[in-house]
Amino acid sequence: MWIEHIKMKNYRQYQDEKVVFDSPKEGKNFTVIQGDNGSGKTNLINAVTWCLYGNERHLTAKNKGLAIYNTLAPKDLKPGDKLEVCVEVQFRESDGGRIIINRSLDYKLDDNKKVVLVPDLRSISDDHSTLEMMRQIGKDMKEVKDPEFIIQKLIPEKIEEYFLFDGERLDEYFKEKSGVKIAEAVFKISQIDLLERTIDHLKAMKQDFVRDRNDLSPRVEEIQGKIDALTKTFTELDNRLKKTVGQRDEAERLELEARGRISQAPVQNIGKYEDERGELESEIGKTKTELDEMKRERVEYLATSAPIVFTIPCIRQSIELIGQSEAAGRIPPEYEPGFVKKLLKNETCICGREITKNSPEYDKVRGLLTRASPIGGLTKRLVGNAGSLEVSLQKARDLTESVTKQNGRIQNLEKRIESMEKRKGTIDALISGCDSEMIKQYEAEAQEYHQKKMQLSEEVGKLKLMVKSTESRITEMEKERNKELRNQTKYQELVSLLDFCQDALTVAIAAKAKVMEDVRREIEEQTREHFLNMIWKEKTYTNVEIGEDYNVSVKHVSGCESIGTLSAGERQVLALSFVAALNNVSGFDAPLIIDTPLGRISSEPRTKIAKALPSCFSERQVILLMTDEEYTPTVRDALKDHVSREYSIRFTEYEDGSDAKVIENA
Amino acid sequence: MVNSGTLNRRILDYIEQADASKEVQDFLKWALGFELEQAWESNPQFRKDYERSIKASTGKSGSR
Repeated sequence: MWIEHIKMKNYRQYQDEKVVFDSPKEGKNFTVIQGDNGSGKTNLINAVTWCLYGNERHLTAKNKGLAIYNTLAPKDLKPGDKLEVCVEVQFRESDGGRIIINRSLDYKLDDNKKVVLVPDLRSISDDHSTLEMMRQIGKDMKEVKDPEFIIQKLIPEKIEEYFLFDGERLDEYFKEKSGVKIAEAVFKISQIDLLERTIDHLKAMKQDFVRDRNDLSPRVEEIQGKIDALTKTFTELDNRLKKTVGQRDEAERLELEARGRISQAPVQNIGKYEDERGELESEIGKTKTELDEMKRERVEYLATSAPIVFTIPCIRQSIELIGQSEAAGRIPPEYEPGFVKKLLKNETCICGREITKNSPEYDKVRGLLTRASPIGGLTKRLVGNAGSLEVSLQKARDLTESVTKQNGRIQNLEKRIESMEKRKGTIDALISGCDSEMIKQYEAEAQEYHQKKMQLSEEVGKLKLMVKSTESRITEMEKERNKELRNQTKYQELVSLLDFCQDALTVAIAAKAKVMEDVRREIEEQTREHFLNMIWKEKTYTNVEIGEDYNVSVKHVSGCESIGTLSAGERQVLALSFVAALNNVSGFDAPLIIDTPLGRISSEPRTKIAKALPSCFSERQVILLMTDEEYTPTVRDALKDHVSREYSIRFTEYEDGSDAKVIENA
Repeated sequence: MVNSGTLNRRILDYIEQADASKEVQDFLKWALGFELEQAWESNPQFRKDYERSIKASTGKSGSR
């Protein structure tokens, strides 16, 4: 990839400039831009870094306080007029395609004639500038939607310092004897850091997969074993069930057959009839015994109660006679003498009338007292006997009723015996012509088969439950097995993912080790070659080594380490050699812009370095920004076969600003 | 896929010549490109992309 042109408008001292570059092919890969100190050489690098990253990385202390726009530009503006700062870099990719990157920043002149920023609110840059990119797709140039992203792929910002650099600062790598900065440079530019991150991420993924794999424990075989055992049990149970169902059906068939034979007999249920007849005979016997007993009791009863019964007419007559006598008053009333005496003593009747002594009433009551005493007992006896007679009469009546009842019961028993004997006669008539033994045998058979059928039906029910239970257990186990099978599939997938991770890790780790060693060794070789080729003290230094820890060692002819005693110019040569080696070995295809590459080199050695530079950076586009002191005629002569274009910066200073023009040398 | 032209040719060469399947080689090229893209922007979600790419490389539909 190489830079085809750099266009600058109102950028720093460049009001409107376009610097064109040639393809680095055919050996002419150098462009020299010559200018005095402060003329704008470094701002050419700044123009490129600002365009790419929105950051002027090589800004001098003097320029840091100045506005980015050219201070001459607002001179002709009226309030409200726009001032645009713009840098455009056009690249050519190795396949010939163009990439145009344009960064701009808008200002305007306000009413007070002050230049104010008009920020791009959509910008992600710190300075609110606008970045645009067009990329050649086929024959057409198309706008790129994410220019920052593409730029990071073309020249990653983190390695920019190894392509766009100030030669005078290069020796900082070797000021201290520390391999850290060197190693960092090698790792970054060789993309070993990408390999390191890939390895770290692969290790993390591997850990994740191992954890997931360990969470799965396939038990398919164990579960399948259980399913097989259950299936065997199921088959056995099912066979038993089928066999038992067959036996039950056979028992049922035999029962029906027996019942069929029974149904053809003239009497059904002969056994039942015989049983009934037996029961009837027994009952008749019992009832007859009961009847006989009852009759005996009646006789006994009659014998004991008959005299009483025979006295009934006498008792009735006596009661009548007493009643008649009483009614006729032939039986004196029953008076209590004590009571009558009390009436007489009190001279008061029970009705309250006064009974005066010696009055007729008194005498009458007194007469009652005299009469009462001889007949009182008789009256009492008569009346008492009449009561007893009534009781005796009732008893006699009860006896009659009791006998009547006994007779009723005897009659009932006799009727019952008659009824039972009638039923027995019917049964006798019914079964008299049957082969009861044969029918009984049929019935026994039917009963036996019925019982067998019932037993078998019960067993069938149990077996069906067992079969169903076994079947549902098999279904459950199959579900579990299928789950485990899915787990096993996941397990196998994880195993292959792990294997893949491991394979990738092995290659990545080996690649890292190999690339690190190759890069270190090649950088060492090339740095040594470039250094010894460029250094003007040809006999002083014999070797340059870069250790595994990336510490650089320059060997003095005496065998001593001399890195600490190198002059600034010698360190710059070492740095140039190292950067050249780094760029060549990195495999990164990006143009180089070196500001003041020979700034610290005294006049004599410059020619030697200039002669060696093309071999250090072959094929790659190299833009050298040099002062007149650096780009001496001898240097120019040394480089002439490799320089395609030469430019000079013509710098003009005004009171209110400056202007620089990049003019191609004739 | 990152333009492999932006990756170190030396690393790519080594991977292409490594004794590994083409899937592993292609995956590593993808991973390097991925890391290159993430170089200027941290990506804590690398697992998702790595897993997707590994599964695509192994032809596994994915189980996690």
